[in-house]
Amino acid sequence: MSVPASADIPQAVGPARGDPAESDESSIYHSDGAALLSGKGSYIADVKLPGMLEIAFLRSPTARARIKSISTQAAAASEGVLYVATGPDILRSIPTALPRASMVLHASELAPEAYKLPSYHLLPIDAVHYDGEAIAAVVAKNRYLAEDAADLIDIEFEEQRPVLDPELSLSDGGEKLFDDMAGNMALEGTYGSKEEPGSLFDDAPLRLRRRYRMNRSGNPPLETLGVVARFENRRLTVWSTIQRPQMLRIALADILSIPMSRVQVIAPQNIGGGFGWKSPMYRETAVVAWLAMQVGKPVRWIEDRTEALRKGIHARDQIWDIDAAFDSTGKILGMKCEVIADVGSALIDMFAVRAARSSCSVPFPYDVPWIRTHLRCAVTNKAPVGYNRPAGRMPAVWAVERLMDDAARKLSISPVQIRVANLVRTFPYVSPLGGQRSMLNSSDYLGTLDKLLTMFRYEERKGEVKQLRATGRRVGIGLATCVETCRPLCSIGGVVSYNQPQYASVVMRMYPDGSLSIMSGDAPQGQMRHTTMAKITAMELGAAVNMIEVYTGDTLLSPITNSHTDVTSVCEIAARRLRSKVIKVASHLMSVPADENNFHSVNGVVTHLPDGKSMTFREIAWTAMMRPFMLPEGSVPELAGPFVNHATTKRRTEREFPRRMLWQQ
Amino acid sequence: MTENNNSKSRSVAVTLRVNGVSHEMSVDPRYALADVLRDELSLTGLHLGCEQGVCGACMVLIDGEPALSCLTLAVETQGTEIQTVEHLSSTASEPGPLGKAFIKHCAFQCGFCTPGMLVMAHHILDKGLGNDRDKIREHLSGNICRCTGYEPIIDAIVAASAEWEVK
Ligand code: FES
Ligand code: FES
Repeated sequence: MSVPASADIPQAVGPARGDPAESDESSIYHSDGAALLSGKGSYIADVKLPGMLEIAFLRSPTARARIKSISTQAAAASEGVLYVATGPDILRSIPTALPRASMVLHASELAPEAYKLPSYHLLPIDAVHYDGEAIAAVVAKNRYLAEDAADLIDIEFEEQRPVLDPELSLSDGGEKLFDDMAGNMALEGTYGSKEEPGSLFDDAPLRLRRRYRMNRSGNPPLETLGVVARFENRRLTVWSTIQRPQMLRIALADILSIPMSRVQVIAPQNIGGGFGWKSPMYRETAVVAWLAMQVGKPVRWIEDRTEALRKGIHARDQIWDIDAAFDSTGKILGMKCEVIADVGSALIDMFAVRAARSSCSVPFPYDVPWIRTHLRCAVTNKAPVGYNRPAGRMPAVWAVERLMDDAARKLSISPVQIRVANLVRTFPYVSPLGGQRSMLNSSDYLGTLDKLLTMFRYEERKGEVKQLRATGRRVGIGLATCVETCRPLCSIGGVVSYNQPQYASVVMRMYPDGSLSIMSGDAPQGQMRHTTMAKITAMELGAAVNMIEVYTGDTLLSPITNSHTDVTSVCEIAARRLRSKVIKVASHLMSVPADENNFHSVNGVVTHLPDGKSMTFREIAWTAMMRPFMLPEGSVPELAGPFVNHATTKRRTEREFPRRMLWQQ
Repeated sequence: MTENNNSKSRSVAVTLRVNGVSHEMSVDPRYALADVLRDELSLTGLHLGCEQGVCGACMVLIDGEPALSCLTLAVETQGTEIQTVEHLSSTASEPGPLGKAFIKHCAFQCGFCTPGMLVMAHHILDKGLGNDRDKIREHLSGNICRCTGYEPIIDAIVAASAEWEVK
């Protein structure tokens, strides 16, 4: 067979299939490392387009006000300014309100509870609802000039007293904050035990009623948000620091009324941290895209730190009123929780309330025979909350761990003892909270606790703490436990209650020289996913890792997918399927049966074990794509495919939901 | 320096010496060094995490001393030698001893703080403080990392110090 010789045929570098060990430190494969360690990372603020203009937003200086008038004349006349936009300007071309403008921004009506999210426009029309809310946008030659001009926008406000207390917001006297919401409650849900507790609480040896409040906070990444947009030849390209580029593409196409086929969203190769902060679609993103369409030139907005901290997303901010019953040994018998979550203005996608829902509906690592949480999400005049690490769980963990410590103190037992008494011991464990859908399937909580105490030298350190406290230092040791939910991959809940595709998918494509690319619609934010994906693929496929290139975040290259870690693990499935395709071609060329078990592939060489015949990926791929006539009739000349894991979703979707509802809003 | 005062954006002629190369440019006197290095000279290694002197991501060396380019006006640096992370990290294909140590000790995740960390690490190592964890800690106190945590970064600097030629 005539195959062009190549100097590129991989030498034995990188891990072989089933042999991930790497001997020499200098050969460590790190696809993310080289660029990041030499200042060559490629982040949003590094995207530079010819003729690019810059955007600055004017933000609300007040938490609640009616907008009486906005005057942009002086700003528009300011040096270097090309365009000034306000809410009413945008409203003329985009009359539909968010979040309902796009199914990926608001929860499906199939959700178990109705989400009562307020409507909003890309920029406010006649009222502002939180400090830092963007009111107007200026496009200018550079950011200095854009910010100068933004200062010249004159707004007349009619200030109103902001509602900052979530309890007040929900109380009878609470002033209604949004015209199109019935009250101020964005979500109400009851989770956990269905049956009534009877006399469980009254008969309990120890009854504790406590209020635990966790303040509002936020975990911003070091890189702020940024958006670059270009509208050219009726196509819109948007670079964005978004954790979910595929979802952003859908949302932008819906909001701007452009077919999705003309919208490309690209999350840069490097995103400077995410932590959930970069998960929602911020209104600014759509404003920037809209402005690119108006001015006909590329535009960019790089958020500054002050904007980031003011506008959020923020997180936590919950009040847990717990009524708990314990027996005399510290074993918890029952727990009733009244939870108020301050979700801020909620003027962002449904993640504003999803985080609070996670907080109240996910089981704890403790065996609580009777448990019920009643969640009420209050809108207030603060920045919207969202999913921010650890994805809504923190206030719940805080409350329950405080409860454990308070109960231990009452019973004069140690913080360790009370946790040992309550940690789940037998698996799978089905909690009334979460039920079958989020069971704790297997673990060893007691063993883990034990290991922790040993590694931490718990007893010893308790002594050290005493000494330190005696010297006036305010130090202490606390224990806390948490079940971190694994990704609801393939979960029907995700499909119906947040309208996201609950499957992962990547495209793998082998080229005629035997190298291959992985195209993923995920947008890694520092998890080394490029390296991980390449390594998993190299191992499963038997490829040399240096022949694999991982492309992320580009919606044009990659299939629709859920984001997050699922996208890494789907590489294993994808690589196996690609390996089957490669072996099929190889077996034909070798004239041997296509029995995969008879083949061994390592470092880009496929060997048929029974007779020792071998071929390189290059020989196989070259034939498959450049000489397809050598293959059986009807062979498709490619070694590629989108590879998906979605079997569970499909099965459960078909079983649990009538077909009609899957596409209706 | 020649000044042009016609409009709000004035420009002043300056010569910036960056990574051993002289650049004659005219810049607005209010421009931060960071913006000029990133936008005019395409040296995007330094990052802007706060633009208010808190995070250290924008760190460069000016006459060998660590400086925050977000708080430094470009016009102030006339006559100085500026070094950016691009210059310190020799070639992109083969990381040097510090880069290797960063990989080995998992001293970065998203990489946004990394350029600032590397600039400061170079300074620490050049001063011969690379084996003193307390001194390293003190020097890194102006560099924020939101992903990785600081211990791995300190480990990497200590590891690199074994092979470092102190200046
Ligand atoms: S950007 Fe200069 S210190 Fe943060
Ligand atoms: S690695 Fe992300 S901020 Fe340091």
